[in-house]
Amino acid sequence: MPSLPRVDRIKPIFTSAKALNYGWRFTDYLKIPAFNGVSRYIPQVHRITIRFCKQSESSTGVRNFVESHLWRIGESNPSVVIYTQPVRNSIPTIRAEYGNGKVIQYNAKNMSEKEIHKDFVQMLSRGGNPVVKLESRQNSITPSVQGSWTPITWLPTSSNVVPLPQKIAVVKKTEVSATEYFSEKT
Amino acid sequence: MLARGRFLNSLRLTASCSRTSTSSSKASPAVVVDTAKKTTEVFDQIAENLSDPRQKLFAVVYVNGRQWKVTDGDLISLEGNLPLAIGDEINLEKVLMVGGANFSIFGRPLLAEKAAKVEAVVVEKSTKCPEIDYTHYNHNQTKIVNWRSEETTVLRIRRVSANQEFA
Amino acid sequence: MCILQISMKTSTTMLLRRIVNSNYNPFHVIPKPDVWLNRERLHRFTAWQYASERTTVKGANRKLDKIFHYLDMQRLDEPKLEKHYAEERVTTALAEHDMQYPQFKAILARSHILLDNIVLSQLAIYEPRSFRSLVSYAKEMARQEGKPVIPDDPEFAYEVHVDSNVLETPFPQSRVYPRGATENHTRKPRKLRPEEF
Repeated sequence: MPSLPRVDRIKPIFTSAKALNYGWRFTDYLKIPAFNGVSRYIPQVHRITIRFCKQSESSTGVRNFVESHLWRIGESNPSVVIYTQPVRNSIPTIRAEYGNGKVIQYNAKNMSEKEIHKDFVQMLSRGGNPVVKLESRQNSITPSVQGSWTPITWLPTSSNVVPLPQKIAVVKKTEVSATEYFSEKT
Repeated sequence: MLARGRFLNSLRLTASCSRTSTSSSKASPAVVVDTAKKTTEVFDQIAENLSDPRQKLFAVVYVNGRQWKVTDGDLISLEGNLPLAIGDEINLEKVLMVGGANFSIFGRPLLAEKAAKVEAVVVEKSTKCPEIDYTHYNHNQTKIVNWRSEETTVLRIRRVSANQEFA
Repeated sequence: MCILQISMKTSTTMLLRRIVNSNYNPFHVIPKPDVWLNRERLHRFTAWQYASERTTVKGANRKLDKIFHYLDMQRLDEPKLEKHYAEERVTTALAEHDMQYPQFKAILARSHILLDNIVLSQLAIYEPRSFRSLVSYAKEMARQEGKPVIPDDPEFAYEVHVDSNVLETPFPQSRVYPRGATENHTRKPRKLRPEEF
């Protein structure tokens, strides 16, 4: 088997990433609508509408889900209003409306009862923000308590009163240079 | 740093102490320091800082295999469908460090149980933006496109507080 | 003379394209999915490309392969890059305080302070005083050990008092990367004996 050269890919990825065009990818910081949880947690789903057909085969999963699981889910989430709309000759859909006005709609055509149950539960647990690539896994209203670092945070004020042309910023070293050694001696 | 006996394995550093230069690598005259007095001084100053009701504290917390620096009102996105329901209030117990505007307390490696308290709420459980797991071998028919959207749990850090007694 | 009547059953004109002796039934066509869906899926990634990589399917498919490769590489590199940047930031922050990274990390490890590079870099950026106090502590410990340290500027220096029993052996690491190349990389390892299986 040919040998695999161990190449550090941290550098090459920059040049390749520059060449490509990721216009389709949305990135954003981690956000939760309406500062949820700061003072009190408020469930974000307001209304879920299930639209299905009583006869067609594509709605069998939805029908089974409505029959077996929906009541229990509705009882355990009293803040959510769940509507079921039987509509003839239509494909089944599930629509969730969130507190920030965003709407998510699932096309549940030919989905099994299990899949619909899983997606339904996920709809209840997510907020109204769209799914985007996160810039960072953390987000803070006040990232700094002591005050963020600035270039002058640790700048000694004595550098202000240094009479020029003396050096303002000197590189400090632990090793004693030959000049220093001899100047100290004398 | 001043460590209070066997009880607390933590490092206490305060910035509001008198600003004297630390001794350089050159020999300096030995100074006798009353450690007990210094300990009480530091603890008193920390307690003074903590008694301020408008103070804001930050903490470094270990959650889900990763260290996070958090304050009040922070959002954290944890990987995986954790056994938490949305709206659950939890205390993050592994606190490595607590600090405020004028002091910091470092745990070695963790702070005592009651020294600091980090309260959080589960705010959302959704999925990450789908990422690709792509396998393609050159000059080969193998092309495997696997889109993964991992489940995430988002916590809101309600409050970071430190206990005066144990500080 | 006898007239032989050959009765031939002729089909009505159906405008079918009949392929003689073919396996395919002309009346039951195998449905072929519309190519539009595939093209839309491709275009979702390549509509932002330029020239023939956007306009032609062949060019777009070649670009798509590249895009997927790079996305996969970026996904795998993300955590590594985060750690890499964190280490760079900590090294730079320490340089501002005239401290060396290996020395600093060694003292923290021996003091059983397990703060990550990521969190240390965040402290250096957002909580500069906490970071500085940690650096002052490390300098004091280095000085007590007899290592040469550059003292803090008197304007910002912290008063450091440390117990003598603070430094211990560091905790064992989860992964150890031994330095250097393996002993004999040119000589292949010997074959296992059946007892060693």
